Amino acid sequence: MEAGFLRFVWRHSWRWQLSILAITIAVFPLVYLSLELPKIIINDAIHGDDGPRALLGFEIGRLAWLLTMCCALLALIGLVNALKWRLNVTMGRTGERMLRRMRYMLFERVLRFPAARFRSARQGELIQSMLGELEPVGGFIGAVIATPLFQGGLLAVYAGFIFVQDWRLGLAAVAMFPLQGWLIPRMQARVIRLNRQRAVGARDLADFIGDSVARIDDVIVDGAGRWRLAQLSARLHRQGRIRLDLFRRKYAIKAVNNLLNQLPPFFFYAVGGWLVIEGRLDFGALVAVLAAQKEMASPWREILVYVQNWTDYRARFGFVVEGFGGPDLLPQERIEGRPGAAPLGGDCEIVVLDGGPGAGGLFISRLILPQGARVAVLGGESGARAALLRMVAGLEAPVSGGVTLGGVALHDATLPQIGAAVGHVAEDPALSGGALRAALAAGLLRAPPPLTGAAAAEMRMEARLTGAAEIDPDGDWIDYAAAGVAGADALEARMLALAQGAGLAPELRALALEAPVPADAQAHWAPLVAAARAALAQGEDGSADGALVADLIAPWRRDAMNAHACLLDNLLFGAVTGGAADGDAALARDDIAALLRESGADAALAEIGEAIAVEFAALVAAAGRDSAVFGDIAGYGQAQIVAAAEYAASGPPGRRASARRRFMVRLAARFIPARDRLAVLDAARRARLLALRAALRARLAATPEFVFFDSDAVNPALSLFDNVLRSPRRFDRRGAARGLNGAVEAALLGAGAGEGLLRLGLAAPIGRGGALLSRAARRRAALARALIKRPRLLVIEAAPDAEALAFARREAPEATLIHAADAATSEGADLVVRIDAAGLATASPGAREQGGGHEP
Amino acid sequence: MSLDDAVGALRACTVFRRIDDGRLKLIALTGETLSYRAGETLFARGDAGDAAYVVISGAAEVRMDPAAAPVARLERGALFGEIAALCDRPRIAFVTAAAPLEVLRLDRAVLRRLLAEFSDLALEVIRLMADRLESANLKLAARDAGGDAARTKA
Repeated sequence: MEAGFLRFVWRHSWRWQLSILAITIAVFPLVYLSLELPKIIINDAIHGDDGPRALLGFEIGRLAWLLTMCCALLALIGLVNALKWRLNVTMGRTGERMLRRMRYMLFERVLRFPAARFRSARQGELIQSMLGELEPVGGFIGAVIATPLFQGGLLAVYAGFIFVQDWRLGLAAVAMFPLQGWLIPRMQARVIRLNRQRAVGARDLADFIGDSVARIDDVIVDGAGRWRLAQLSARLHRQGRIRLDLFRRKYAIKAVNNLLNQLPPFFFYAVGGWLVIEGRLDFGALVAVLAAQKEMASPWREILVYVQNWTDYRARFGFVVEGFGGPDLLPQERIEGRPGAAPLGGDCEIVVLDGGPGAGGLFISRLILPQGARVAVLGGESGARAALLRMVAGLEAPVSGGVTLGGVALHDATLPQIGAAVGHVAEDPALSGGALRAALAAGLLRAPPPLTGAAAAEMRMEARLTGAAEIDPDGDWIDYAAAGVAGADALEARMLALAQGAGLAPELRALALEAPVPADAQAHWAPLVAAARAALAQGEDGSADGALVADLIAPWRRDAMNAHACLLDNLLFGAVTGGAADGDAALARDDIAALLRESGADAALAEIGEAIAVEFAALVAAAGRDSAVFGDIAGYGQAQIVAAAEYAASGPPGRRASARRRFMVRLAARFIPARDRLAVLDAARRARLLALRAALRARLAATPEFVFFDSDAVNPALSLFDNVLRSPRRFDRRGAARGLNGAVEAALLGAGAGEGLLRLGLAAPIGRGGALLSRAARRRAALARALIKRPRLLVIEAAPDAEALAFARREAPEATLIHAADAATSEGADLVVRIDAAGLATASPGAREQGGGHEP
Repeated sequence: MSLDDAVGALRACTVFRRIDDGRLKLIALTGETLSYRAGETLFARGDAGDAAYVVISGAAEVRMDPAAAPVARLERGALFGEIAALCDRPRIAFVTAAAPLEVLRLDRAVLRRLLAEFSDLALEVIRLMADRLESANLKLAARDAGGDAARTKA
């Protein structure tokens, strides 16, 4: 990125700046005309003689002339505004494109930072400077030519107009400019300095907030909440003082400027009035001059602001770019790869490596890890081991010396080279992508798909105009060849094999149970779910699982209330499948709401709701409406309870009866007898609900996206687990429900859904960074992710168990495998690297004596 | 499984004796009514103390070891598990259902909120703890006295 602001702006936006220039120039004659026309209207059409006027060869009367001139003025104003609109849009688009280019370039530079730089890089500062600080610079770039030209031009037109009317008035109009031009920039200098201080403070603030969130564990265990608040408060205070100072100075400048702008009218009234009285200036001209002078204030102010901004933003641009630059920045090919570069591979050589600060004193004089060897690293728990493994993976840079792979220094290698050759399993790995399928493929996203298709044309053009890569972000990025497979299906099979080999099958099945059944896989799942249901139902008589499940759930029966389901479910005896599986989803549907109203179910629910409200009113009377205990009542919020109590206390429904009725229907709809235990459902009400259920059935059967609880269909709004059970879990048996998941899983496995469960698990959400998985499972997934790309060098930071090692060796027989180890897992290694307490690493051949590790 | 059963059990529990019916109902509503079959375990030693329990019906037994004889039997109105729940401590004993059992489970957070809000309930809990401490002290004193007497004899 060019350091010079003007050079950068001109180089990347000269075409747009020229078109802005053209539009700007086109506006001026029109503006001059818009000043001239009112003068003609006043002097000629209004004050002139009665005789006819010539227009385009025609003679027209005075009134027609007046109207023609007025219409011309109106058209002119419309035209000027249309051009201004066009100008503003072009300027805005230019600014946005330049902003996009700057941010893209800066982020690209972040990716080119050498590993060592990330030690000192402050995340919050990078974000703040890329987003907050650059934001106004973009807008300024759009206006960089237009503002001085347009506003300066306007000023010249207005001043020129006044000079044409009378040179003395012209002099009066510009009399204050030299003083303002000298004084204002001097007052501005301090404002610019304050602005820079504010930007530095904002970066610091952003970094502090980011740091607090990232290190929330420390904040909690150190009990540092108040200290953090105090630090934040101090920063806010400093920012506040800078801002206050800024306001004072900015408004002082504004006041001085306004005052100086108000002086010329004094001359106009005095000198201009005198000239009119003397008959040396006509009245229309004086009015027009006054109008023109008034118009001058705005462009003049804009020019002064522009001058300040120019200084401010040029400095800010330099300041930001400087933070993302530096001589240590790696070349651009770091990201895109060198054409024709050979893939990395071969012996890994570590030469005179000094880890530097934070590396536990790590020092290695020379160490060769032969291609294909298994290298166990022992000792160095104080940090040297982790540093060594991260340096071998190319994630950290030593202070001196280096790591080469097949003769290529890792810090010089490009990201595509490293991505293809190095697999890495971190101590506490994060999994990206939202689902395991995406997380496992993360190491294969190395085949950028081009942007194609008509819809992408605009995206492609904008990318080209802003220096971005013309790549489809949502396309298929997977490099299948890197995984050694032919296509998507083969990759999925490979993922399944690796996930199973890594011991992830239980996790995949558990994830699958909680995942919704995809709408396009209904046909696949319906028979499996039915078989699992049947197996569990049979088990009620025999198998332990069936008995367990039967004891923990409350099956639906068409002719009986289910105490463990809400009244709405009881009434409908089914659920809507579209949208969320929330209990109120059905009530939100217009067709079902109408059905409830017409059938009288609405009234039945409202009556029960009133009874619940009376109960809530008694509770509110006993504990007071502000009692925090109401927040602990399952199913109902404090606000709802208090509102119900207020309705009940207000007596029978009167005004706002329909709102009250809706409220009561919702209150009753979510009432679950076994959970809420209030005595509001007597035999008569239960019978009425059952009668309504029977009456509604035929109508609901014709309702789209509705599934009855006794239907064999799969409900995509529910999880697989809930689909198999098809019945609510018993509230009173929650204390004994531990084996339920296992029983359902066993029934599905028995039905032959084994592979289907694994596939569903691959697509199931795993939470941000894989938060829904345990750390051990994340490590296993990270191992599978590293193995899927068939690395030449595999680095495992956390000591793997023998099983994981055997798996890794089996799946990547030719890779150099270097891992943290304990005494047990170092057995059988080709080479054992021992790091002593001082951080000195020495290698010796492993027990098998087959390795080629040696040290001079 | 009605709320009134739970309220009745709370009324039979000494800690809740000064609480009026309205608030007893609220307390019952903030808890969950759970049922266990004879022999099922409510919690084991070492489990997190995440809740306190009041027996609504049936009986539970307390054991220090799952195979050992019970050290206590808990019946309607008995409060148990509250110390672990209030002190963030793991369970120190095993509790199993001796017969079909119904309990009101009060989550730890709910229990704390109840104590913070209802001072008369907090006072009763303190009184209960003090009683237990005193009887433990008396037992210790008696054992020490017995031990001293034995040593004197020797």
